[in-house]
Amino acid sequence: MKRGAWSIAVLAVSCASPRPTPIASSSPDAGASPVQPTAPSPAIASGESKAAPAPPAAPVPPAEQPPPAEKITYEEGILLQAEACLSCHSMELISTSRLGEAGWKAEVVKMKNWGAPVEDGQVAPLAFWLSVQYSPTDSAPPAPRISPAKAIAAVTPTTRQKVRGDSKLGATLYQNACALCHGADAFGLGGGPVLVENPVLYQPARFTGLIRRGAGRMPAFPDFKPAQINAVLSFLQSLPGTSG
Amino acid sequence: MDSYSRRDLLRLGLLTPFASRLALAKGSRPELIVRSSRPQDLETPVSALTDEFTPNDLFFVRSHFGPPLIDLKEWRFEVRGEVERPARWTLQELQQVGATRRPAVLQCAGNGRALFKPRIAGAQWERGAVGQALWGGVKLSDVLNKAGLKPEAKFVTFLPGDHPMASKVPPFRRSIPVEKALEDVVLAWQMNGAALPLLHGAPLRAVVPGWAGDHWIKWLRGIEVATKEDPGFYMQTGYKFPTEPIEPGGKPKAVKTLTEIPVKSLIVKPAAGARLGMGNQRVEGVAFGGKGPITRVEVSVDDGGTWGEAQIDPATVAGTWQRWEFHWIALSGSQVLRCRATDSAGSVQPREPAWNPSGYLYNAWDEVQCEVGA
Repeated sequence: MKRGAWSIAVLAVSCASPRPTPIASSSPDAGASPVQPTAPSPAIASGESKAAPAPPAAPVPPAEQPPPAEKITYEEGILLQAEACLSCHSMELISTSRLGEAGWKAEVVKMKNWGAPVEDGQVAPLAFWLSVQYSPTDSAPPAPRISPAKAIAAVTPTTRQKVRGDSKLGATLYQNACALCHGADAFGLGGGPVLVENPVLYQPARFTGLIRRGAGRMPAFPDFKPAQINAVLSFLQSLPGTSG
Repeated sequence: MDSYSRRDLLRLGLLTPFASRLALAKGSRPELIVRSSRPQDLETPVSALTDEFTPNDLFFVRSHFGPPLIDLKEWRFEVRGEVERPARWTLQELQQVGATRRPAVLQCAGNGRALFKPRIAGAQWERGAVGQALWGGVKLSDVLNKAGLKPEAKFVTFLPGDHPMASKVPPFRRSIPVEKALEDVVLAWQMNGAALPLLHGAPLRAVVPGWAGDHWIKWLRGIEVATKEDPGFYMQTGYKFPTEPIEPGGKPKAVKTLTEIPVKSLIVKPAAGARLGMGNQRVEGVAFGGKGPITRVEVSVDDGGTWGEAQIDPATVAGTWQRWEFHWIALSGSQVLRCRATDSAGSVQPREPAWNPSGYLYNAWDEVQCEVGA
């Protein structure tokens, strides 16, 4: 019952004053929580940010509290959600999944077992936080819409020509700048998406923009020169896919 | 089932989508409902399911992982395991094994998940994770006959081409029994006469008529013929259904692999929230699933108190939908239309869905509310 009271308090705060979510800001952790190159259109991006209203301050729990392990501030929850959930999932999936605490806990445990970066001690607090933010008693935000043309464009190559670049140099640059999040073999690490056979490899303008300006949680690499970007692209295009 | 003649295709209404595409080109295109933007899980508005075949760009999209952009120069279709003649074919070589066209309804196993109470984790599909297309490809039976099944072959596992987002995430592999593989499964490189779109599994996907979408593996790189079904997560843990009905929110004592989609009908027109005039109105919809063809569709405007029978198109081949229409004399006010279908085995679309822990196979009465004015 005490926890229920806190939930309502948090929800009340959360509904009261939305502000831009910190997910897209350049937090100190941004370097470790990279881009989703497949993140598609601005339409969807705006849908995501709408789906994540944020209160101005952490909820202040009343005097009689849930057990200490379950305490988590709003900001801590946002950061943990960004690390643990949003690397692989989009906001719509999470914000529309209106589950109770047990349901969220089962999901967090499943994803932790699949490599989501969640410490043992964070499982219960994150599950509780999710059940408050996306409570089954609160209705989900309306689903964004996307035109068929935009949905298709997100995965459609703008060229099928392989880029001319120094793939050996690209391999070195990749290992230094990208592998930490996308994996040494570019098959992902749960932090950054799989780049092998990613359609963005044949959308060179978008690929260049992602590197130079960053996107979402991926940091920008503004100093990368065109030849270096082509080198990385050439290296990534050379990686063969395999059957799962 | 053999390849379709031109007459069959005309009868099935293959030309309808082109006509409606023209019509739609004049007006605004419907938009897809975003259930997940990354990877894309996109739902079709049910009001766009008016045609025999759902246009490719409006067809719902379900992706476990992102689509791989496969280089056809490198791609080979691998046939391995319990076969006499393992193979690695180019697409052209695979296309020479045989060619067929086959209409079939594709419905996501989780279509309707958002309508279950209590709520269930996963993509929150409402009504439109379903569509019908004319799939062009090669019969899996032709592939298996060419490779030569060994006597111990019991299952065919589809080898997907999409990449899990981390090394601990299991690949999305599914197996089907050899009997089903030989019956009517198609490996498709065409969808409604066009090259299979990337979002729908290019260069090759499985078409498993009558079975839920989890078997219709996209971006195929091959098949493995085996004595056992795949040992991975998506075969042993995922896509299970209680063997006995359970209370909503309960835990099943035993589960089985889900396969066929249960009997279901949907109201396509009027659209939810439509404003209509009083008097003669045509209610339209589709019905599919179940054991055997749909034999009856009924419509109620009094919450199931009384039902009127709809006219349904005759059944063609298994795993396709039958369109239906109902003549409704609409009275003014806020009205809720409900429909239910019955199949040839006597299964009736139920009032309450069979709640299950993963939210699969929702098939409760469909309902649409509309406002009827003077």
